[in-house]
Amino acid sequence: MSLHLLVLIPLLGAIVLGCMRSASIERARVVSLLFTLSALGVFLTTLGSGAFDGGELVAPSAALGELTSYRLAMDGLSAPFVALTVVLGIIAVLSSWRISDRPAAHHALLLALQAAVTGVFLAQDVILFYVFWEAVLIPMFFLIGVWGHEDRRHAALKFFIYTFAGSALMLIGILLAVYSTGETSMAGVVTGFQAMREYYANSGVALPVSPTLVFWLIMIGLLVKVPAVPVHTWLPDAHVEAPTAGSVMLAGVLLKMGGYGMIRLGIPLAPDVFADARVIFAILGIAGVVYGAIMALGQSDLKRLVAYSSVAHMGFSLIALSTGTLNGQIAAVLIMVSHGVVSALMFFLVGELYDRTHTREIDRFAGMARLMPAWGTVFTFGALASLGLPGLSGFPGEFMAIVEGFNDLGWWMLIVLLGVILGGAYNLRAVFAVGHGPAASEWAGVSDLDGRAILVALVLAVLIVILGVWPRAVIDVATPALSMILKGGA
Amino acid sequence: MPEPIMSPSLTLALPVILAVLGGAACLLFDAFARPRTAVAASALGLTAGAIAAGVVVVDGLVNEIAFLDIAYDMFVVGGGFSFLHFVILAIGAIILWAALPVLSETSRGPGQAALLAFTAAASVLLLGALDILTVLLAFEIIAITGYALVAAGGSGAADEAAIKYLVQGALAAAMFVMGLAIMFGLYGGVTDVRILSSFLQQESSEPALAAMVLLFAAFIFKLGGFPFHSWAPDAYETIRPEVGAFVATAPKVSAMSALFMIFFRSFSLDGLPLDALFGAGALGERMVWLVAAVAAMSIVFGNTAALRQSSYTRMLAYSGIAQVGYAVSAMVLSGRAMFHSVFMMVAYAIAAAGAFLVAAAVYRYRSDWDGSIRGLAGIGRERPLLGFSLAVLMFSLTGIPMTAGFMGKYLVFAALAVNGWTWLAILGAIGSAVSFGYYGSVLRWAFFEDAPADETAEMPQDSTLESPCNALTWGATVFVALTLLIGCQPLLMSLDIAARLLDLGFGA
Repeated sequence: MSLHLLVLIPLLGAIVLGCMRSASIERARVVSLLFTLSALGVFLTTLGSGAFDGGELVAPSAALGELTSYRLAMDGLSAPFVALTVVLGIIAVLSSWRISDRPAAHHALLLALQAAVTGVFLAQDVILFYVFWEAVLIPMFFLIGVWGHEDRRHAALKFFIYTFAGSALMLIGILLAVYSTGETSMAGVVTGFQAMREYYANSGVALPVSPTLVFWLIMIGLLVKVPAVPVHTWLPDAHVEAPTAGSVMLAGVLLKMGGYGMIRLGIPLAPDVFADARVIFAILGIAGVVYGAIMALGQSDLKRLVAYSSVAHMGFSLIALSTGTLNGQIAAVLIMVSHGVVSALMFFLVGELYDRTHTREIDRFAGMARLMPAWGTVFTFGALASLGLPGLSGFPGEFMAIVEGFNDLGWWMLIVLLGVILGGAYNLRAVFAVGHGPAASEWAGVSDLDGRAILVALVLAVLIVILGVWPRAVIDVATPALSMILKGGA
Repeated sequence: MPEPIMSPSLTLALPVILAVLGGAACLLFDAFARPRTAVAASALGLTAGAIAAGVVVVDGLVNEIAFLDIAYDMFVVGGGFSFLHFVILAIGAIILWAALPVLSETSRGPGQAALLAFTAAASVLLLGALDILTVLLAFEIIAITGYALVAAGGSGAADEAAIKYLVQGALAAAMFVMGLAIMFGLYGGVTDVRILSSFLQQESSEPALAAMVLLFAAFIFKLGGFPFHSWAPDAYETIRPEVGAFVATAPKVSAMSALFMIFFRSFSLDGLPLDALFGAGALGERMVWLVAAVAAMSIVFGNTAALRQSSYTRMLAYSGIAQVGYAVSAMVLSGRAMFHSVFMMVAYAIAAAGAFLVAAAVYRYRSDWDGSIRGLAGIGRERPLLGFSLAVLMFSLTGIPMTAGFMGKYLVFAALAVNGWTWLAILGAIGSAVSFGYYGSVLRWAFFEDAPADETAEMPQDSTLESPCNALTWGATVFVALTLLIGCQPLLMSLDIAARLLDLGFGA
C-alpha cells in the first residue's frame, strides 16, 4: 500500500493545488510542502517498518485489463531512485519558495511531476512504465514554458519533441516485445523474450521480430533521456531555461530515468545484442564525458556550465554501463544518485544567485564568496563534489567506473581521464571566477543565503558527504537486485 | 436468447428518421423566423437519434449479445454499427447544443444546423451499407451538404473553397462511378457488396484492380487523405468552426467504416461473417502496397504541411490528413484491423470536434481574432477552462497516454508492429513526435505567451458575447471528458468493453 501512496500523495496534492487556483503564495507553498513531506514520511516508514529488506517489495496490484496492470514494486534498484525523487521533491518545493506567478499551478505541476517520476521508478508493467514515462513530459513542458527564463518557449517545445520522439520509438519497441511475448510485466517481458528466442532458435524458424531492432528502438528512447551525446541538445536549453525547481527535478531525477530504464528493461531484454553493442555505449559515454567537459569549460553562462556538466556525468554512467558487469552497473547507479544530489545543489545555488542578481553571466561576477560567505562556501563544496573529490559523493561511482572501464577498455580510458581533468578545470574555474577575486561593486548590497536556503544546502551537503564516505548505503541495497537482473531473473 | 429490443429495420431507421425530422423541423421553424427554436429542433432530433441508437447499444451490452442484423436487406445494423450511429449522432448533438446560441444569431445559422443534421443522417446511412449504390448515394449527400456548409461561411474565401471542394468532389464522384461502371461490366450489374466481394476474392484481372483503385481513391478523397487532400485546408479554414467541428470529424468515422465494409468485409445472409475477406484475395495482395503508400504519404505530407501553418483551423485540417494516414495504415492488415482504424477515427473525431469548438469559442471571446495560432496568446491564463480543454485536446491529437488519441494510435501501431509492418509503425511514431511541433506550438502560444496588453485592457466583455462563448467552452469540455474517459478506461479496465462496443462482426 505504501508504494501506492508514494504515487498517490503527490498526485492528490497536484489535484488539491490545481483546484485552489487563486491561492496565495504562502498557502500554495505550505500545502505543497506538506504533501512532499508526507511522501517522504511514507517512504521512510516503508524503510523503517522492515517491509523493505532489499528484496522486492510488491504492492498489491489491481487486476486490470489485457492492456496493462497497475503493478508497483520496489526493489534494490528502484529504492535509491525513489529516495532521490522523494527528497528532491521537497528540495524543488523549497527552491520555488518565492515563485509569485500563479504559485498554486506551479506547485501543482511540481507534485504531478513527482508522482509521474515515482511511477516510472516503481512500475512493474511495461505499459504502465510507458504511461508514467510520457506523463513526466506534460508537467515539465508547462514548468519550463510558463515559469522559465527568456528563451523558455523554444526550450519547452524542444524538450518535449526531442524526448517524445525518442519515447515514441521506444513505444514501438515495447509493443514488439510485449506482443511477441504476450506479457506486459517487466519480468515477464524480459524472460518471455528470451524464451521466445530460444523457442524459435530450437525450432529453426525465423524470428518474427528482430531482437536487434527491438533493442535499439527501446534504447533510442532511453539514450535521449540520459542524454547521450549526439541526442543531448535538448538538455542545455531545457536546464538553462527551466525555473530552478524545474532544473533541480530535471537534472536530479528525470535524467536518471534513462539509465534506470537501461538497467531494468533495455539491457536484460536482449543481453547478447547489448554485448555486441557495448563498444557503441562506451564510445557514447566517452564522447559525453569529454564533450560535456569541454563545453562546460567554454560556457559564459553559469547555469549552462552546470547543465553541460550533467552531460559529462551522465557520460560516466554510460561508460560504467557499457562494461556490462555487476560492478559497472553498481557504479552507474552510484554516479546517477550522486549526480542527482550534486546537480540539485548546484542548480539550487545558481538559482539563488540568479534571484538576487538576475544574471548568470560568469564574467559579471567576482568575489561573490566575499559578499555571500554562506553561498560561496556551499558553492565551493558543490563544485568539489562535482569534480569527484574523494570523500564526497562523486568519487566512489566515478572511481569504480574508471576501474571497471580499464578492465574493459584498457588504455582508451586515458581519454576519460582527460575528461576528469577537464572536469576539475571547469568546476574550479567556476569557483574562482564567480567566488573569488575583488568583490564586484555591482553586487555590493547583495544578501546571503537565508535560513531556508541554508537548510536546503545543508540537507544536500550532508547527503553528499554520506554518499561519499559510506557508498555502501546504496551499494548494499542495489547489489542483490542488480545481480538478479544481470542473471536474467529480472 | 433475449430478443433484440428493436427490429433490425427500426434499429437503423429510427435514428435516421429522428435526425432527418430534426433537420426538417429546423427548416420549418426557420421559415417562421424562429432561429433559436429551429436550431434547438435540429439538436433535439440528433439527440433523440443518438438515444435511439444508444438504446440498442445498451441493450446489446446488457444482454451480452453482440448481434449484427441486416435491415432492409441493405444495411448492417446492431452491435458496433449501432455504437457508431450513436457516436456520430452524439457528436452532432453535442456540437449543436453548444453552438445553439451562436447559430441562432445569424440568418444562415438555422440552415446550417439543418444541413448538419442531414449530414449526420447520411453518415449513419453510409455506415454498414451493403449495396454499393447506397454507398454512393450516402457519399454524395455528405458531399453536397458539405459544399453548402463550406459556402455558407459567407466570405469570398469561403466561396472559393466551396467551388474548389465542389470541383474536386465531382472528380471523386466520377472516380467512384467509373469504378462502379467497371464492376457493372465485369459482374453483370451486381451491386450487393456481399456478392461483389465474393467475386473479387477470386479475381485478379486488371479491370477489377482498376475498379478497386478507383473506389479506394474516391474514399481517400472523402477522408481527406493524400493525394486527394487539397480541398480540406481551404474548406476547414473558411467553414464556421462550430460547423466544421462536425463536418471534419464524424463523416470520417463513417467513411472509414464504409471503406472497410467494401474492401475487407463480406456477409453471409444471416449476418455471420464469412471467413474469406477481400483483403486476403489476390487483388488485396496487389493493392496493399498502394494502401501503405497512401497511408505513409498522408502521414509524411500531413505532418510536414501542418508544421508550416499559422492558422489554427488550417493546421487542424493538415494534421487531419496525417491522422487519416494513421487510421488508413491499419488497412494494410485485414480483418480485426478494422477495429483499430475505426477506434483511431473515433478518438480523432472526438478530439478534433473539441478542438474546432475551442476555435469557435475563441472567436466569441476575442472578437478580433484572426484565426491564427499566435492570436491564441494568453488564452490559457485568461480562460482556464478553455485552456485546459485545449491542452487535453492537443495532447490527445498528439497521442499522449491517458487520452483517447493515445489509445487509437497505440492500437494501430501495435497491430502494425505485430504483423510485420514495423516500418509503418515507426513512421507513425515519428509522425506523432513531429506533430507536437504544431500541436505544442498551439499550447506554447496559449500558455507561454501573454495576450497583447491592449487586448487585456478591454477584458470586461458584454454579455452578448459571453454566453455563446461559455456554451461553446462547455461543449469542448464535454469532448475533453470523453477524450479522458476513453483514454483512461482501457488502461484502468479492459479493452473488452471497447471491443464489444465496436464489434463490427470480425470477432475478437
